Amino acid sequence: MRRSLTLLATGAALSLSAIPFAVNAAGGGGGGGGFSGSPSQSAPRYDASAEYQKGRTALQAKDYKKAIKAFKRSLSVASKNANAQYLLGFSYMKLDNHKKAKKPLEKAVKLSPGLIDAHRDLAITYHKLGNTEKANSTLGKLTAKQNACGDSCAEKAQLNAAVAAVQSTMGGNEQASLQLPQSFGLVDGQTSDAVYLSAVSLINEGQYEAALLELDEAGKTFGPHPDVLTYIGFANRKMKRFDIAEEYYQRALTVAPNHLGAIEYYGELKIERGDLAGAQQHLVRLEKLCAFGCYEAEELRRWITEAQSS
Amino acid sequence: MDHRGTKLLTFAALTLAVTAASAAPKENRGLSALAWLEPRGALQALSNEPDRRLHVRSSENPAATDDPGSTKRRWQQISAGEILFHTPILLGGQAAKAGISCASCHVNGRDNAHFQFPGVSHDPGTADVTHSFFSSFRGDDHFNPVSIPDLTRPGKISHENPEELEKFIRGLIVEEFDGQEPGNAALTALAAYVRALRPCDGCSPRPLIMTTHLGRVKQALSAAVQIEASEQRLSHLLIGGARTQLSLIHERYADKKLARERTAITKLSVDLATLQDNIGVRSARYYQLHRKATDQIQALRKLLADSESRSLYNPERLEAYLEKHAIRQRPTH
Repeated sequence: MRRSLTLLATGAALSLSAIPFAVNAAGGGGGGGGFSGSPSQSAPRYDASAEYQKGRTALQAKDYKKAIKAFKRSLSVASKNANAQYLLGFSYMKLDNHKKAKKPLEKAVKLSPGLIDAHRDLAITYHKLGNTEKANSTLGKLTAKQNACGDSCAEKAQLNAAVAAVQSTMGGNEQASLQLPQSFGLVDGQTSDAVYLSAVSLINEGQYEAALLELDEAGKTFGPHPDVLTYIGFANRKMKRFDIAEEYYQRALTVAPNHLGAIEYYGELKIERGDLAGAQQHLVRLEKLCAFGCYEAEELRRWITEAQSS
Repeated sequence: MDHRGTKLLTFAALTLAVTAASAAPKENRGLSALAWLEPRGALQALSNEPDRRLHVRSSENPAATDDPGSTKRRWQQISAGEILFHTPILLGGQAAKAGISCASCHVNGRDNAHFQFPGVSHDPGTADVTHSFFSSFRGDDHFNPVSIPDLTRPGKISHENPEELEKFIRGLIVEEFDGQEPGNAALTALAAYVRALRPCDGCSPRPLIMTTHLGRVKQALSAAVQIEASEQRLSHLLIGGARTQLSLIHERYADKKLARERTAITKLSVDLATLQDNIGVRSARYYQLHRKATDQIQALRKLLADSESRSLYNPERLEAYLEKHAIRQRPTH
């Protein structure tokens, strides 16, 4: 359910000194730093969301080499992020390096089959590389989506444009300008901020499907942000999609190992699956991280106590 | 107006701040109150707070005869209520995670002209109390922030009517902020505190100093040991409140040369966690831990006083910190 997202431009100035609310609120620690000092982690470790946003900024400035560097750094931490894979491929395309664009675009469509832009650009890339068979196959997937969509689905315009772009390129016309879609926030980056807040509110209202749509949009701007990933996990868990929930909690903890919200919710998931001992381990971890106490530990402790008494 | 469509782009800076925090050393997460203070008023809000005036009657019935025992009991309730009022874990959901307590909006029971929570406030000093971001129960899908009331003034809820105030406070905790049931003892304490609040029109603001927060740690521990052993939930909240106050001190001792102080503050909080674990027993160990914690507060007070000028309780250092912080938080997109 898409709410009004007309934003007041004055908000940004007011928020300049706001500190990591979301760190404590949604994530209770955000990244939180504090990576352990094991040998495997002695190599540079990047903030996946920050690097993703650097990449977006570089794309906006048409600095594609810088964008590639940033997306690679983001992916070095969060390799399963379809948006980062897509934008890496897109950046290579802007440099006419279709050979290098292919792999990240393939990963993007595999990780996120609904990412229409990635399908479009992958088809174009195959065509540029002379792989007509794969180009046609990918175009076929797009047209299948288009046909399934019919006249009323939300992605109709996007699908039509994507199919037209691929057909035009395969027909010998160079695409006039390879533009990144607005949904990736390059034009209206602030919309995603509102979408994120809206998503959390929708979760509180129990509208999980609607929340997931908004979190997906927010993820296009923020990339593999632990708060976004955690709430995707949370919404899926509330819909009893436990495997997907676990996957996203793990992704959140990959980019931010000390993310309090992810540790708490993952612990709650373990209780729902009957793994009380696993949940206890999460509580121990939270207690260690929260030297001054925290709500996440309080909540998980309550869940464990209730599970023990039931 | 749809509340989701209003005043929300502040999240841009917030999200960037998350990113900044992710890379920051674990020990230095910044001043938590900046999450809900408007930047222009932050220095004032973090340097001073309105003085408080409390008044107690031994009975809700003005005609009743006061007796010293009843008055003492009432003060104990007020003291406990004041700590709960400053304790985020009393509330639930997003508020508790953000470190917001009743006192974040009602500083010493007053209003807070500088409160401005992104997406939930409009002008400073307002809040949408029916926003789904905080509440699973009271979201009304409209952005309708209201001025934060001064609780020392007559409001829509009578302070005198027995139980009406308690019922109202319970609704705030459980429904407006998704908190757990606080229990009767906690509600009685909170209501006693709110009933005791009095206007202080001629009073000047008092400086917010280290002993403001450390005093509340001591107050919380004192309240926790005075209440009935059966009131485990209240004891847990009170000691949790003490730990919150320690976190507020910890974040002010941010200078890298104040590591010894931060270690001592953290140690006390960890010891208080052990005390929390022993609440249900009230054995000799519980009282031993309590005495130890009380002694630690004494020692901590001296240690912290010696270096307070180098902490963010020093208004000059605080101002410099806020300036630096504002620069770092500037959004780039």
